[in-house]
Amino acid sequence: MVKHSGIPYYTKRIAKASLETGTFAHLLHRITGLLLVVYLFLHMGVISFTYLNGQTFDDLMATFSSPLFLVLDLVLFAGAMIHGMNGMRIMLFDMGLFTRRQKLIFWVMMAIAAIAVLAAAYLLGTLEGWW
Amino acid sequence: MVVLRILRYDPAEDGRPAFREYEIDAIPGMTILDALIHIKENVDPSLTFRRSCRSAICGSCAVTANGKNLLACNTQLSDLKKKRIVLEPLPGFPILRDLAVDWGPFFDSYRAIKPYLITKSPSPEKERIQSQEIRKKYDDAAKCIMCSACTSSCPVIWTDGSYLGPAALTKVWRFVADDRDEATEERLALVNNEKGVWRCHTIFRCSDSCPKDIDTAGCLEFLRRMVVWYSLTGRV
Amino acid sequence: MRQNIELKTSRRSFWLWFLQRVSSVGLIIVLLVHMLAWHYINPPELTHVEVSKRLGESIFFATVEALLIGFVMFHALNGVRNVVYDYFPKPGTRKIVSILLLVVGIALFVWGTFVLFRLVFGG
Repeated sequence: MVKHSGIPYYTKRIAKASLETGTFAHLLHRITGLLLVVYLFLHMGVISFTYLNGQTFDDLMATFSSPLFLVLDLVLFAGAMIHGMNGMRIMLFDMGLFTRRQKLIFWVMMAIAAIAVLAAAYLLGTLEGWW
Repeated sequence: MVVLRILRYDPAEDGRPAFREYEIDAIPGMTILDALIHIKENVDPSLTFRRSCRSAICGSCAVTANGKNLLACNTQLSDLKKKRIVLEPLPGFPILRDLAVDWGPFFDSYRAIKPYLITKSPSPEKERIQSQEIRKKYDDAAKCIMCSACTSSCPVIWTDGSYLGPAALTKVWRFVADDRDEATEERLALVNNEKGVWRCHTIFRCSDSCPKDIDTAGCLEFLRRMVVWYSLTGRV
Repeated sequence: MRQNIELKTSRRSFWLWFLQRVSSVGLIIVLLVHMLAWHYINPPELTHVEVSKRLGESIFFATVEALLIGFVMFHALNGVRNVVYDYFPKPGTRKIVSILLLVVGIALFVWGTFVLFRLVFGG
């Protein structure tokens, strides 16, 4: 008898399975979720520690208003939108809706997320006068 | 001409499972099982695989073909639309030999959820009558042939063998939805834990791989909503 | 080899799953209010003085932020717990990680709200 499971096996197999819509959605949800956790820790750490000192806080906020960080904000927004829209998709299934239409629902949700991100990018560019 | 790439493993020899390739002339209408039988009879008699009914009802011949779990007996070589077909034993279970896996863990979790009708009221004179409407409610779940294609396709099972898996949980839903069964609370209590319904991440590989087209993930969500409702009203 | 699987009810596992859904809905609402209140409707300049002033104006702003920290902390760390449970089946590892995440979550929530309310009441 030989083992046919475990983390090394999982990594090999999930890479192939990720081409399927359901698995792709699951992995996307997991990866965006973990990235958002990393962001949350950075955000809370940086803001709360500088908050106690007025000058450092102001300097930091000025840095965060630079174009580079605004683009990163957009990436953050995209991650949150993907995670949020896919989360809503999962809650639809939890409520017993569309379990037989999961692939279609995934792409509908991703389309909504894409439109929201494009709209946000347009809004940001207009406010900053990039075009 | 089709190339079958089969994962071979012989416990009598030392070493890891390794692929071996077989070239066969595919006749129109030839199923994967036909091809396996052809190889065993004409090319390599040591090839091991499970099969019984050859008509998609016994659930013995589930294998992984090109990454998807399916029944070898009702999938034709031409259905896969590839000239190279990779056959592997079902993931998640230990390999006994070649394509035969150890189904021990699968039936352990099946046994744990009490897969039989439980009644408490005294038996009526004739049978326990059930309306057609209620029978229809769990029609989907009752189609299960226990081939384990769904459970072994679940990525959670690959890393966490303690999860009961979609097949066992769908069976729970089959009895919970049956109004003749009088142990709903007991059943829901069995799956209200980290081995049960809460480990499902709705990845949908189970529904995708079911050869009987059962909406396994949907059945599991039905069951989960019942556990939520019973938990909120303090009954589980 | 036959093995008997013991299935014990764990009400905690239900509440964690259920609160993950509840916190996600709460998160969407609170995040929307947060974005509107800080970046769209009459946004303050992002300087220490202005932000402190805004927090001091009304307890509403700090309450929204505290709710946000609470929801996001639970949702994020329970999410991490779910991931850990998938890849680490050993009960010992799971227990240690669960306790660790609980401690980190409570500590960060307390720290976050402390910083917040120190500014509200002028620290």
